[in-house]
Amino acid sequence: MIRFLTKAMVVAWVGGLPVMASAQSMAGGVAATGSAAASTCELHVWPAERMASITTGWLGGGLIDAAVHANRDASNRALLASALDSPSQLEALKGIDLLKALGRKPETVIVVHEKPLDRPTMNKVKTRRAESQSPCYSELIVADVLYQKAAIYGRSLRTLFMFREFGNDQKIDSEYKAWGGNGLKLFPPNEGEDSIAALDELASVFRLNFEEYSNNQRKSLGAKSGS
Amino acid sequence: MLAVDGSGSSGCEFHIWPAEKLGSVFYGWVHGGIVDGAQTGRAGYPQIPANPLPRSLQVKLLEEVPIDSFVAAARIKRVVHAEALNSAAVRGATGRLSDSTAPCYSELIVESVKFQQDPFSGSWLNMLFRYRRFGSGAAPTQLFGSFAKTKLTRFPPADEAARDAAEAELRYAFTANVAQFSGALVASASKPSKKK
Repeated sequence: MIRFLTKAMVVAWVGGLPVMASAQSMAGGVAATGSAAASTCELHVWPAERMASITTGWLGGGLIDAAVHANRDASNRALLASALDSPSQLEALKGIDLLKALGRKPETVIVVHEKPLDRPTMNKVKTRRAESQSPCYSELIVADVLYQKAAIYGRSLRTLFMFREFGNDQKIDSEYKAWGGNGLKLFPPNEGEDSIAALDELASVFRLNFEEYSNNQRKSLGAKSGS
Repeated sequence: MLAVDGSGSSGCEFHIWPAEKLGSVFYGWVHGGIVDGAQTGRAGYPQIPANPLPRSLQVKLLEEVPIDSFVAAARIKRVVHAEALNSAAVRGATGRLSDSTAPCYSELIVESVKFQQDPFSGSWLNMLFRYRRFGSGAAPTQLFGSFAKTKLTRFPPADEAARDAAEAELRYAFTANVAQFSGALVASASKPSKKK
């Protein structure tokens, strides 16, 4: 059973179906709700707020290259921000068994935060980012979304993810931060051309990036714990 | 709340949804990339007026834009919805986004409205649209999505005195982008889709 709670809407998902909704019950934090009692494990999820597009041509980067591709990169950033806005990132992750992917206990409640964390604070804050008192608390943070086009390597979408596990206190027990990246065939679309398939591709590659990341996360944390 | 015009005697309905608000993307010399950094007051990001394109203003503009190229029928009932749709729900929708059962029915969704700025290409209003046309069946018979953008030279305003002109330019760019998108829709119907 997988249960999702969204911070703004408070919707629990059981078997993919919404079963509970309450606008006020999250006010005191996740543990205040009936579905996320203080004794349950929690995985808190945040989407990314930073999107970048970097195109490098045969000049190999630098100021001139940036100037040449500025208009296209600016449009790409606007498209990334639309196609991979917070609801779309969370929707993409909802289609994945996050608990299995990140090696969490099956009874863990997934708490989805619709508002991204402040990007500059992401590495500085070493304590829990949610007010939860759960004794078995972990976080999945999407830190960055980057579209990259290089003259030789082609087009790709890269996503930086960060997983942090706390246990029963405010101290990080284990942490894994890494990029997932996969190639793009359709994005970016040209202005005036049909862009639906290209924008849908971003969501599917975002999902692939997470799967790549989570495979590495399980290996890395498994190796550290000796399991 | 809906804004409706046209008699609808043709039996055709054209439903339009605004975007939630003006968003922004900015990339400067040494920093950038935070989505909506301008609206949330991030240091180093351009300052823009608070909510210069609210849904109510978008609805007003969408009530007035020409829709002939979207629906080739006379006396169309235009329905402009006051609420914005959830982006993920729009992309996942397989059927109509309203309760209408009109046999001649189409939809225009303004998915996003972004102010984009960088030191090289300047300031633009970039909008993402999605058009869906239905016949009597449940699934759309035509789907088309694209972005359109218009250069901004006055927005954001340098000071309070320049605010009216800047916001007028923003309204003009919004309308111009709808027109650009309708032109792209017409053009797409007359040529086969191209794969990269």
